[in-house]
Amino acid sequence: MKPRPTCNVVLLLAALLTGCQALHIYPQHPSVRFRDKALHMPENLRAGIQIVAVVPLGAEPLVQATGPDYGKQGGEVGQGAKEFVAGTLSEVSSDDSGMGLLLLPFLLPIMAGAGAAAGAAKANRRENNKATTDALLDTYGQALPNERLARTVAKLVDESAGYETARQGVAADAELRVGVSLIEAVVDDTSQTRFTVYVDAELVAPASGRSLFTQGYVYRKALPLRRWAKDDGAGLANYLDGARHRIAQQVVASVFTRLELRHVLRPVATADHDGEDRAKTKSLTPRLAWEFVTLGGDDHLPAPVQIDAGSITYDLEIYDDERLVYRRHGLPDPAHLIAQPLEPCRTLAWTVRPSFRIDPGLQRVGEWMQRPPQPGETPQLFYEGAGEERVLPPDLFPTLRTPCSRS
Amino acid sequence: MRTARAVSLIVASLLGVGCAGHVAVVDHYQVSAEALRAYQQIKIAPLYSQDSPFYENLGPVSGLSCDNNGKTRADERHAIEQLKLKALQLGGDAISPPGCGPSKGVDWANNCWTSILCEAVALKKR
Repeated sequence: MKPRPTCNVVLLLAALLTGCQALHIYPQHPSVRFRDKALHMPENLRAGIQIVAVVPLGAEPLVQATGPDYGKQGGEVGQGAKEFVAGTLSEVSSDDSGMGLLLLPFLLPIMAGAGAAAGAAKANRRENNKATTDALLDTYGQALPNERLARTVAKLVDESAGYETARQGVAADAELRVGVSLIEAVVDDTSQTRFTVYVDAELVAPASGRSLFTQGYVYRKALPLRRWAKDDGAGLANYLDGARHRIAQQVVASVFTRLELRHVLRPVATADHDGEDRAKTKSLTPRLAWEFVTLGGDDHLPAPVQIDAGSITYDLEIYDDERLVYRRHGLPDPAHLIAQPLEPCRTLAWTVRPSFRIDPGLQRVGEWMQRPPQPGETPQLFYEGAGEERVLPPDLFPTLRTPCSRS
Repeated sequence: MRTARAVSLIVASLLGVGCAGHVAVVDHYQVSAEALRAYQQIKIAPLYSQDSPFYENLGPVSGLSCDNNGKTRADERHAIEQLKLKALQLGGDAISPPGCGPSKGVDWANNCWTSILCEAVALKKR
């Protein structure tokens, strides 16, 4: 990410001293930004589709690990020694005192040894990283089979108003082919390991075999390797399970139901929760509330959209890290009393999504509620690049903290 | 003593450069739902309305759209939206036709790589 223009310490100090606001511009919330284009399948292609056959792609995903901190690299120990000595020599030669040169013969072997040790430690760490990542991928690399992803997508299609999956003997209007193309681990030298799941989806007209819409979906998360590997790889197992749900949700929304409207969607205070991000709830079954306001200016859509205000319902989800722990669909009010006690003493991500009827009687959904971006954070839309959508991880949703006592 | 004076001069001049021309940005997420609905009704009045007896002139407003991380493009529509939000805060129901222009290079005053600044007059129909 490009840094902000004024990284100058003097300016920063001066600004802080005087309360000057120039350095404190928060990034705009992604939901209020003007969009360049809509990423969902165009409405003219959606028209006429009601019965959908969800088909898993044949080939199982490719699994691969790479990265600058993955696996031993040739001559690392010798290179470490060489770098250490070269660094020392350049420091000594820039020193005019001559003292360093006198000490140099004694220091050289020690430094070379230290360099070799550092190189060896680095090589060891890389080998450990490689062994851990390989073990994780061997165990969980196939934990997200296409068949399972397709089943989740089909379930969500059935939940979407106006659509259903094809039953036996009923011809489908369209065939949705979904599959994981790649599960990738990148072991970085910043001690973060980034796992990414890539999914491809294609909507095909069954009669002609013509491709109507194709889109890639990317779900990415970076954590220290030890956190992925903790509890026999529970971190990765949960991530892949969360990825299945989040990606399936985005595939269905992007192909069939999502309408990207500029909006404000934010938590509202209740007696149990003050609505602030990371605020503690007063009970394990708190009442959560939110408000949704559209802003207009949706120039990325072919025509202005009129929402039937009386038709708005909400989907609510609560995540414990990547694990979906609570889910409600079609809530009629912008508030909900949690029906099952949440786990005590946890920080949970929560989000809602509006669902509404638009002009010609079509039911559409909006985007999931995101927390405001932090200063210096790039606002995240689900735009990844041409033909690709980024699936937002629960880290970008507002969080709440449950009380530690069960009362 | 001389060093201290030099430092204070530098700080003062940096502040002058850094904060002069700074335009406050209204965050939609800090605005009430009622105001969010109301600002969408703010109209752009015809040319010269600020001098018309049919409008009350509530004063000038500035709206800024800022690219402060190299990824979020400055957008004139956003700057005009800022004008409307500020006009609403002044009790207005219209703005004069806005004049907008991009920053010349880095906009240091607002900490933006590039920015678009729009200016108008907040108006209220009599």
